[in-house]
Amino acid sequence: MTDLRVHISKTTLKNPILTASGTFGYGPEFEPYLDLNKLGGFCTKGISLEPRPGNPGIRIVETASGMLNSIGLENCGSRVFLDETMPKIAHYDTAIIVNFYAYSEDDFVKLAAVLSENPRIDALEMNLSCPNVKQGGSAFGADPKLIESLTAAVRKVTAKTLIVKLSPNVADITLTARAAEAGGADAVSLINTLVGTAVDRRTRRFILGNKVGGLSGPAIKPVALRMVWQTAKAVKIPVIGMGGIATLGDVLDFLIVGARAVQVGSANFVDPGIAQTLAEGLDRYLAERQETIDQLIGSVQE
Amino acid sequence: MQRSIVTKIADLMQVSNDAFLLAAPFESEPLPGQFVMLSFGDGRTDPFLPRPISIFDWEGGMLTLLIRVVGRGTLLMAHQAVGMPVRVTGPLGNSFPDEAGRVFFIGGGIGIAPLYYAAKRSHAKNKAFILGFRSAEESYLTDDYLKVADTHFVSDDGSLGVKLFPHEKLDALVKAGEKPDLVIACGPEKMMAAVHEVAKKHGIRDIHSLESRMGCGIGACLGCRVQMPGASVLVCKEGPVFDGSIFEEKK
Repeated sequence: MTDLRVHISKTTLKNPILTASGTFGYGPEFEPYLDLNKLGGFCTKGISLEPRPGNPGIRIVETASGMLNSIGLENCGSRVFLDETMPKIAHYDTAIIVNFYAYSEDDFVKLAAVLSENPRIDALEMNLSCPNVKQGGSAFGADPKLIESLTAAVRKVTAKTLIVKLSPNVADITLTARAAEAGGADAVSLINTLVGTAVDRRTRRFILGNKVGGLSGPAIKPVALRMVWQTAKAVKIPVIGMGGIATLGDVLDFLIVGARAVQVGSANFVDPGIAQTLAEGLDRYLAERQETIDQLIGSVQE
Repeated sequence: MQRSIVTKIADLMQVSNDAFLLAAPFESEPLPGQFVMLSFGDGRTDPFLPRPISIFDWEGGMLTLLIRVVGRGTLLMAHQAVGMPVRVTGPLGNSFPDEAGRVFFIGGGIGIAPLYYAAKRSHAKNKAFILGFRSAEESYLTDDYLKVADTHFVSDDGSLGVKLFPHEKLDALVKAGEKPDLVIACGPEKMMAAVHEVAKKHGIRDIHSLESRMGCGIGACLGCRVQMPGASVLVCKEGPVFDGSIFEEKK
């Protein structure tokens, strides 16, 4: 077996394959289909201070090689998550990355502080980029100044590895990535979903209850790959890449352009065992080529 | 045991203008009322998502699905051939209750799909189908259902069985002295709500199988949550089988 370990600040991942928030539940949902201990880690469903019911109406619609979702960050809230969910997932021998979001700086800070008290949580992923909540993440997600001050405020209350998840719905993602770095983030992860919509031409209504949703799946991979490449060149902190990863080839592409780790997203819906398959595939690929993971990462020729 | 595997289509048969049977080896034995997620197993990304499909039959490791063509994904699936790979994830969701007495299985359109296996596996002493179609021309598999239990056909235009809605047939049977201990229904939501009203009126326990758009089928994407009159439910995890009270406004 190849040494696939990568480091995201002080968090060591046993391999660079993570699963993306919102596509992997809280973890146990996938137990019948894979061995979670074989993953580098997993990102939980986004947690808010209080429980949220999510958006009403139709929440997902398939598009060409992808899907739009407008779940609206439905989640059990931080109290239930820490008291009831964490004990059920604490035993996994893999990194637990808790994705979290709020509607104000105060709440971001409060939530980060509460989550940081749990010793089992390896890293926090701050969601500044959900397109599906009105006052929510994306209001913060486009303004570099806000990102920097918010990251700095959260940085003060947590010693955990702090990952800032960035929105692709900006003119220049390197500006928001640099802002997160300046605010003290240990890593950035990108891309979150691209804002899109779909209409039912028969009824002439929007299909999604929320009208707009986040586009994910293989359709967005070229955009994601470009943004990850640009960001990896623009910041010194590790970049975690995601966006349409569905095959080993996709994993390799993101690592080659400079991602230190990757997140598998909506492909988990198609094949709930895929994250383990990809981790094993990466192991075989490197073993066959007698290449190290560090040689692979950022190996793109410009 | 739940699993997600790529298996090969063993049989594909058109049963009406817009419905077909797809059979594929799948070892995990499902409970009546459960469903699977079905997608193309050849690595294509378009269509991307799997589709939730109720289980028409399972026998000796062979899974059979009854599928109606409702969009591009199901149309492309209907055009597959024997031997082509498909991914099946399941069996998923909760299941229908079993009942020793008299049970009616009430289906409308493609909603008849899960009732075949349910009736076949049922331990009810006395079981019967009430199956509703638009017309005789749009009906399918009627002989197969007749082999499993007595079947009362109803249709919108009277070309098959009697010209009644399924809930009206239920009402008529109860009034004729054939009151069931349990009804299990699957079909359009309006049909199920009407069945619930009749069941409630006569004090009959009623159970329904709901349909929803799904992303994953395993409770991860939360895409299938629907607001029913009685509750907001995550169909894949909390269902797809629900008590009839879900059709009643929560007080």
